[in-house]
Amino acid sequence: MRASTKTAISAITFGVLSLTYNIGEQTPLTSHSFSAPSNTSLPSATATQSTPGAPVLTPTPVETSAAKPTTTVPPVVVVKPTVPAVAAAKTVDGSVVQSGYGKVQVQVTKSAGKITDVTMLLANATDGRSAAFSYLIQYAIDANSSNFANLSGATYTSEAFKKSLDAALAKF
Amino acid sequence: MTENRFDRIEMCMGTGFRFQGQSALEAGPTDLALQAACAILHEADAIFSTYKPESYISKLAAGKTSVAECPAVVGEVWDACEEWEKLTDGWFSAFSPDHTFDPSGLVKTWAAKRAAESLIAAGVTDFTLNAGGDVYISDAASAEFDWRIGLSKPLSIASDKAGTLAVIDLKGSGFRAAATSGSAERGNHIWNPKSAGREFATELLQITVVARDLVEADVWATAAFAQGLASMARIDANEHLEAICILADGQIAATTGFAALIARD
Repeated sequence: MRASTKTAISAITFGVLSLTYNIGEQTPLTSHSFSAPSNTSLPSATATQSTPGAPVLTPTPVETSAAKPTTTVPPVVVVKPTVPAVAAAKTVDGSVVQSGYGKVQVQVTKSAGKITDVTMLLANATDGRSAAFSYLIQYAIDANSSNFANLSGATYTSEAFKKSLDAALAKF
Repeated sequence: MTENRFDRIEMCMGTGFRFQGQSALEAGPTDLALQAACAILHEADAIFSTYKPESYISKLAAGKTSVAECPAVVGEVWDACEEWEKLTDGWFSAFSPDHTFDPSGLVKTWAAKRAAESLIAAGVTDFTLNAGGDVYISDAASAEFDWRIGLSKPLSIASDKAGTLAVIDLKGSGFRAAATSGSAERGNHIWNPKSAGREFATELLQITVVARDLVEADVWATAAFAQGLASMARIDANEHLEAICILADGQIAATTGFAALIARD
């Protein structure tokens, strides 16, 4: 349990920030609170009208500065990040990995210990899967950007891309 | 960032485990320590995979062996699952609707935690570990950006609209891990353990739980996803947990202390 003051507060109500999330769009903030009537049993949260004073979070969805993938993704995609190159960049090819959707091979450029560019040398995946790779490239760069080290999301599985990327990284 | 920065992705359990950090050791010993940590992951996969018919867990489900005949870790995981089931009031359950023991919800981060411990014991203490989207930060992590974790939007990372919902910064907090459960990447796969049959939990699109420990974050994320919005009150009342969730209708809710973790720049 929280510290005693916090426990006392949570017995009355706890403010929960709330806003509407729409895929790909910024939408206005609305504020809600979830009242937890008592702590004698497991409180079930119920949404109530917006409450002034409830903590309001203004998350600024972090947009990466690199080019965003679009729906019309060519088979070979190059994403240029805005990472300043302070040391000589080195480029290495990953291994060719056979996935269920075709062959995948990436080429990675690292500069000052960071991935600055990932290029698909082979992305003849079919079934609409090629669109997936552009985001994976973005992921690889994001995850190695100066902004954050890791991305937390529901378990991801994109083995072929990562195998090739891993093979490329192992060569640095 | 020092010159001994390492970055290793190990494919195991159908996902990627990424170790990133700085090592005070030479490259050779660092690599050996990483190999030993990865061996722990593969060993856990061999024992606990429900996809491999020869694994102990598959044999156990088929009634071909008993816990007593399995390696000791099977009993350990069994006990841990029971303990977590109690702590989450039954919302985390390692028993499938068919009443077979399926610890898949625990094994990934349980193994990752052991891998991280082995790395620290070997002298590699300054790192982050991303276990298929569940992130652990070591106490000694020195790079500012290692403390920052991007939280994915509730979309498959294969989606062209995928991106980050927010970035949190755990530096200076007691939190060391963030785990996300959701239906975006793998579809509906978390069932409601309190329903009569195999009924999937659908009230939330996604929930991220921040905790002191990777397993704690993972179990609570799974339990909260199964329970739905009502779980937020329980998480809010626990000083060792914070969470942010997205409801099926697109609304976002977070615990009181979560806002303080959002990276401001």
